Amino acid sequence: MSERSRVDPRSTSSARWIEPGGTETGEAQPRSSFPFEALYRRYHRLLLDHVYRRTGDVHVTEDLVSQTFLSALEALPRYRDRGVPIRFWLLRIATNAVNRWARNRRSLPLDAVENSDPVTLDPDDADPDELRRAQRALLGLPPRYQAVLSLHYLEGLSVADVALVLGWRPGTVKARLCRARRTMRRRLDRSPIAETRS
Amino acid sequence: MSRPDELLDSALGQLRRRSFPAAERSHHVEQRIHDRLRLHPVRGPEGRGRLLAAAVILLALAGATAAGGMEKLRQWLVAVEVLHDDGSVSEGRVTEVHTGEDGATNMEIEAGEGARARIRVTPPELSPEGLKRVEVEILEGQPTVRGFAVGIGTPEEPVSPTPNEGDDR
Repeated sequence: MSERSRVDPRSTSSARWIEPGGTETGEAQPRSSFPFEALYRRYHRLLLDHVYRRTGDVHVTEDLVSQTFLSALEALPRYRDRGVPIRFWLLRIATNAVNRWARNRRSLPLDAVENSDPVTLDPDDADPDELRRAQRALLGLPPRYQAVLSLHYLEGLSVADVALVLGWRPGTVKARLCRARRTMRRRLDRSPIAETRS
Repeated sequence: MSRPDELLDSALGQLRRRSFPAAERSHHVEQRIHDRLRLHPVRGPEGRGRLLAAAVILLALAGATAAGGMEKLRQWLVAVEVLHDDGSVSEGRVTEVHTGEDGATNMEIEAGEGARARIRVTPPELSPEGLKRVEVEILEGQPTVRGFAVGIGTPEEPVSPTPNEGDDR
């Protein structure tokens, strides 16, 4: 455990802080509350929704979001404003956490994966079968394709914003979006329900 | 639009409309925790045995796997709360943190009213499944104990880290 985790982030002068309930500011401000608290309060829900849409599992989501905030807490003193809004910085940390989880999941024996249903179904889900199929198709993609699809189509980020989150060039984002769509389309088209409907 | 495209757009639409279930986060203990910047509560022993990651964060922050972990834990720990069936909450405390021979981290919680629990966190690299494994075991329990909340956050008086104090590197 690094000593950095216990450093009071208020002592960092060049971080971009989030005012509670307010907007991002470019400079650290003298403040009476802990910046991490504001960060947590403001973005916790956003990250829960994002990670949940990608993993489909309540418990995995809570774990991954907590790991994201832990990483953010540790890294916050080193955060510098390089034109990446802090929301995107958090999304990048979350994406890395979910990618690691997805890679571990993919490396499990096939029967272990197939026996672990990743989808937490809500009573409000209109079509549980279709939802389950959609989630499995997404989770069956390589993690980088999952990431780019989810940020663009599920979170509604522009190609330029996805590029900022993932640290890729916009052209790379477009190319991977195209490949990800094609791969997911193939997976869906091969699924039993699609065959039944055709 | 071709049928495969329709399937894809429909699937993405299904996923896009999802949001994290509010019911999972509506519990008043969780709200109390959020109110004071606690992260997630630990729920157990209701059966799912899933640690909602406060303890993981707590343990990680505490450096509980290394010497001096308990001291760090004391610095970061805000509270341990015990949730009872009737909705009441009582205070508890962490009594022990240690790393087992197998590399898993164990934290014991004294929950008051005779209840004690052990939270055991096995990191992904050590668990057979390759996933983080969290187990909540009730050592002594009252039938009314439904769960525990372990909180971290900003101490009322900010911690002023002393260089090298407790540094386990």
